[in-house]
Amino acid sequence: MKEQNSMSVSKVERSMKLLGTGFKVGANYIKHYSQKMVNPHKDRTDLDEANASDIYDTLSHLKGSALKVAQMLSMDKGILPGAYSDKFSLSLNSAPPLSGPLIIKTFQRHLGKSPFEIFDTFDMQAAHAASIGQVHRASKDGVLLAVKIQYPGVADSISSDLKMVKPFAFRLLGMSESELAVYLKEVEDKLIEETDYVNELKQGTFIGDACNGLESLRFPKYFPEYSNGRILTMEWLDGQPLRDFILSEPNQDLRNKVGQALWDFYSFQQHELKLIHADPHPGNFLVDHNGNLAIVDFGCVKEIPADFYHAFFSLVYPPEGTGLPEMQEWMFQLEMLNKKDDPAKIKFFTSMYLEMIGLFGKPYLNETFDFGDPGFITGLYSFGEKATKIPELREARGSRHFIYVNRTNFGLYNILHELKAEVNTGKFSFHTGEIV
Amino acid sequence: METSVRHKILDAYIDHLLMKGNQPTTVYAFCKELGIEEPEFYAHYATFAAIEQDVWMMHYEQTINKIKSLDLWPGYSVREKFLSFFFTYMEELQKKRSLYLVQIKQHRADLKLFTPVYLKKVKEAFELFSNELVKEGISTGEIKERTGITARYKDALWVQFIFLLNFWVNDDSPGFERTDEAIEKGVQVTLDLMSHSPLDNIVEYGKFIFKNAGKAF
Repeated sequence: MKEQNSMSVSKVERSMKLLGTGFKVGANYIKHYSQKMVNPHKDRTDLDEANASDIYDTLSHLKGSALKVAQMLSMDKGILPGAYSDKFSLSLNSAPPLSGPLIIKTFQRHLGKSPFEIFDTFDMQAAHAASIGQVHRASKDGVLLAVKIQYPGVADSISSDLKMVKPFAFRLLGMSESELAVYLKEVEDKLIEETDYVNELKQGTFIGDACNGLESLRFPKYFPEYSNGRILTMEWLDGQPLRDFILSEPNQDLRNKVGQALWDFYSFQQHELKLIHADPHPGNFLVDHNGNLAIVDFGCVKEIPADFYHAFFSLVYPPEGTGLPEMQEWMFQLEMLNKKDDPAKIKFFTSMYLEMIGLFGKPYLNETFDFGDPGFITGLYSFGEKATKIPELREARGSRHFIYVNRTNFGLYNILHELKAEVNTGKFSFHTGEIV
Repeated sequence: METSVRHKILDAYIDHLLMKGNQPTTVYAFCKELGIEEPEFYAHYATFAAIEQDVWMMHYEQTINKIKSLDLWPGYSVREKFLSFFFTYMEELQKKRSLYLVQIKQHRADLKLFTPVYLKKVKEAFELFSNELVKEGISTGEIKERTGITARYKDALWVQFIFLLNFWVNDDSPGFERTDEAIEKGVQVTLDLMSHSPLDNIVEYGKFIFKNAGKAF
């Protein structure tokens, strides 16, 4: 890997970069519409591709939270046109590594010793990049370890980075600043949380312990004595990145096994823990040679509030005999409907949401579900495409908790679709009883 | 015996700076405070500035000793050696931030001139250190020898030194993480410029065009 030597220096410079991209995106639009005047049938794919590529080029020169936002955008395939997300998923592994002396310095600053004093072996070459840090291989007392080191200044620059990404996000999503403020706050809070490795250690340990009884899942053991806010030491888990596993064309049994583990992991968290690992990106999972799924990143964990959980899953699993008024009541609770809406609007949104929930809830409602069925995922995408074109849906709606709950579920669906797994979805289900 | 008085003066001076936040008004007052005779002071230091030079020099030498004793040092590239120097230097400065800030702030304008009095000795030592590493870099091919410019590399590195010191003085980020970033990025760029770069090709091309000016048009 090439050592980093051209990371933007100042906020001003970063603003300039983003500004430059803004112009380029603008230019792409102009190009698109001028071509469209000549050829009215030209579709948006070219435009989206040109935009995605310029945005990606810019973001790859940034690090930290901007990269994270890129990652977030790449998750919501249903919301963003395909071209955006394909380009963005590249951003994951594009950050150049830190220099050797900075690694030593970070250790000395945060743990008071050099990595060589702490571990028996420590590989100065990063094994791979994480979005806001990099991972090194180490060992201690015969145990292989993964040591994640955060880039300096990441936590500090999140808010200012987000401010710069904002106008961009509005343009991409076509929403106004005030409408999105509450959602961006949610994202900002989560991103800041993600830079605290002490927090990640706690979350990883907690969820790992809680999921202990689930089959075919592996969680790393964490080492608090070699960790702190900027350095996280955990057991090194062997395995193939999930993306590579999928590309290796495993047989159907293996696909189903991995898919089942993934589904159980998420439905257990949603229904029993009310706490979810909210970053189901293929980069966060490994598959070992026995087909066990390892989860290696607990930076982003979302707590699902009880009232949100209840209303949301009541919509997904409506009890028999549920009438429209009850469905709407839950929609009001979830801020999908607003008391200020006129009857026509309520009618329109109710039918839109019912269609959406019908699509979204399919895997939850059947005992077994085949995610390989192309109809399901294209149904979701085309609904997403359709939704972005409806002017009424341009306004921001829904509780802020949707951001991470949706991101998790759509991310999960995406992976399961790529796995083409057939999964038994009934093991854990909506209930209003005590949580674990 | 000699050195112990020197040390005593140095310690007392540091203590004075830290407690009072400025230089003693006169050598006389300082000596009285310390309980020594003025001639005794002048036997070791001609001015207060000379003491400050020693303070900074001690810190510089500590840094050099520390990095050169690292197991990794011999294996480092020249780039990494400079990075390691600056990281360690700043880390050490940080441990006594108030002491160094007092001195820097007393001679605020000096830092803009690139050779503050208190850094006179450090500058000489750092230039030797830089030249040594530049030579090493040239022999390994990491740094490109450029006639007439190679000798100025040390100046560029000194500018970097002063820039980082300034940056650190004004850094208000938690744990001075911004300074770490400034070192990481700044040193990389400086070393990039010193290694073979597109600039060389541009200069070469310029020379060629200049010599063959008549042919192109």
